[in-house]
Amino acid sequence: MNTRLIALALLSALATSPTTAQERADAFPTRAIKIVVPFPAGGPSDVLARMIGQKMSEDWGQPVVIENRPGANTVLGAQQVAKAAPDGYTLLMAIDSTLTMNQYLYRAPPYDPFNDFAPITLTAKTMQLLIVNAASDVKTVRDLISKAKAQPGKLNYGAGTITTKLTGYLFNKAAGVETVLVPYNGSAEVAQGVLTKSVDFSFDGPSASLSLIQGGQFRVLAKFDPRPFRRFPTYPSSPPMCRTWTRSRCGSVWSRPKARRRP
Amino acid sequence: MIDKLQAEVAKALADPAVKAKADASGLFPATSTPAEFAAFIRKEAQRWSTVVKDTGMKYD
Repeated sequence: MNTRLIALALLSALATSPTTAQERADAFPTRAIKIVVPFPAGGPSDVLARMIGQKMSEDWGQPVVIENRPGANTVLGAQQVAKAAPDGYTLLMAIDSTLTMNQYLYRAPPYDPFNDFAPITLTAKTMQLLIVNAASDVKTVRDLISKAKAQPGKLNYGAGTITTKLTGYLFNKAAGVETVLVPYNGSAEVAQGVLTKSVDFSFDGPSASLSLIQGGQFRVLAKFDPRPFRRFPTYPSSPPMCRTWTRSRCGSVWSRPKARRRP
Repeated sequence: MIDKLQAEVAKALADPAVKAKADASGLFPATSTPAEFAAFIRKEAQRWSTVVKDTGMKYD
């Protein structure tokens, strides 16, 4: 079973119906477009939405408004777009969990990812990193596991999406440790949590942490292998974490970003 | 309308300035047709349903 955790895939969706779409396609857009970002400003979805919005606005001569609507694992933003007029003027900058996980996680699924939205396009992919504050005494994944084993339930980690929260869950299971989730609303908050040492480590995409990694305030312990959890659910009896995680070579990754580009 | 939006996003992501900024943010721009994207969501959802059920995670 291929259950690899590919990081946050940024997705975009549109609430529309085929008939209205056809009728107005030629003139579209004749007024402002809104892109709902289900995260606070500053995270990867927000950055990408603003870049795309700016381009649309330049090319189409209509304003593009970015509305940040964080909370409830992207559910609040998704619900807003699901309920919006299906006219193509309200877009959602979704992430993978918005469309592929929330429907299984919530007892009462708050929207239907297949019927409430019309897919437009994938926009970007990213990766997950295991990050600590550079001042931490934890230098490796192995250090982290040893420390966590010595103090069950004491270490905590920040995660800002369902995907990264699931990673934390799977990390605990794989490593046989009990670290505690501190849920955040997106990457910008997670990075802040690591910076202020409110959390001992984090699972997050690189975007909000990049300057802090490059500036030496953050240390990356691991970058995810594309298929780190393929053996799930046979964990925790499977091989130790070092065989399921790729050791970070962060410097070389960021100095040669193209080498790591994924389709 | 969807095709028009898709084409515009693809155009935006192909822009060198956008590409450079995305690279600097650790993002890897990727585009798809609406049909490819729909298929991708369905495939990923199927895969994740199994993982989520295995974890037993539930939100109210």
